[in-house]
Amino acid sequence: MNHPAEITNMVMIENPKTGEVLVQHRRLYWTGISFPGGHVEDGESFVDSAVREVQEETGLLVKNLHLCGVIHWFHTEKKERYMVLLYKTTDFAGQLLPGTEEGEVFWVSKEKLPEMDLSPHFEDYLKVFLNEDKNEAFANWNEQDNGTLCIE
Amino acid sequence: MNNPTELTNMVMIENPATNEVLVQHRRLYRTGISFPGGHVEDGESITASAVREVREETGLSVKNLRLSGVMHWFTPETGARYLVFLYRTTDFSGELLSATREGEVFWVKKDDLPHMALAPDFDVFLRVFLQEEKSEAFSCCDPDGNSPFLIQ
Repeated sequence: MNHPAEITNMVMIENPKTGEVLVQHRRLYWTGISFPGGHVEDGESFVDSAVREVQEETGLLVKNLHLCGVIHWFHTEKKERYMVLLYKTTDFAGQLLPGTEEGEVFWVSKEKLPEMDLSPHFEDYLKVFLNEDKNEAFANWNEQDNGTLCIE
Repeated sequence: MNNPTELTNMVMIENPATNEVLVQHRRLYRTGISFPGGHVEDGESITASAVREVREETGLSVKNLRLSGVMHWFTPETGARYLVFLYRTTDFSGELLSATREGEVFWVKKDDLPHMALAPDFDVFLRVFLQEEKSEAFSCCDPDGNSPFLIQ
């Protein structure tokens, strides 16, 4: 019952005036377009971890985060979970960094997103971000089977 | 990074016509008034586990669950996490069971809830359930052994 779980976060920052969202073109571990985010550290709340990761990767200070869903991977043999808590906000301030070692960050219009070079599975993550009635993308996987995210 | 994590769910079922919510009077550990819910089993999504637990504990079928927030406990000594994913719905059908081993289930007026004999910490759960802008209640033991909640 108490399986090891790696918990991370991801934040969609939207500028309501322009309809743009802030993306990160990732260069480490997995490459492609994604939203900023990272790991939850021991002893910090999920909200604090999301605010911290955004600040480290973009220079922006975000507030009023709304939990809009979760990505949930379960490794059927190792019995380990990998989870991404998804947050949205339109409340941001500060000076945008051009990029960090994680990758460049820049604004793009929401409509352009699907056409871009998206990072692995990000197309499915977007379905949870952008659909109010979708809360979760879940997949069972192991070394033989990469798994398919089921959106519900 | 890979912390042992106990993953559970809880569902607030509302009848908008009567302004009532379905409560469970818990008889096993953590006694008092609460909402139905339970553990996420290996290989199932959190959403599916919430639907299953509601059916087992109340007899009702629920749909269109909306993720409302998360309760998050962290124990520094062991690095263990205990999570409760909170869902709301107004979409239910079926015949209400009078009770299960977990306790009786019955409808109460939402406004009467705060005055009832609530299960431990359930007042905090309610704040996250009922306040749209709150997505998390986080508790981490401090050196004096106190674990206040941070609600964000």
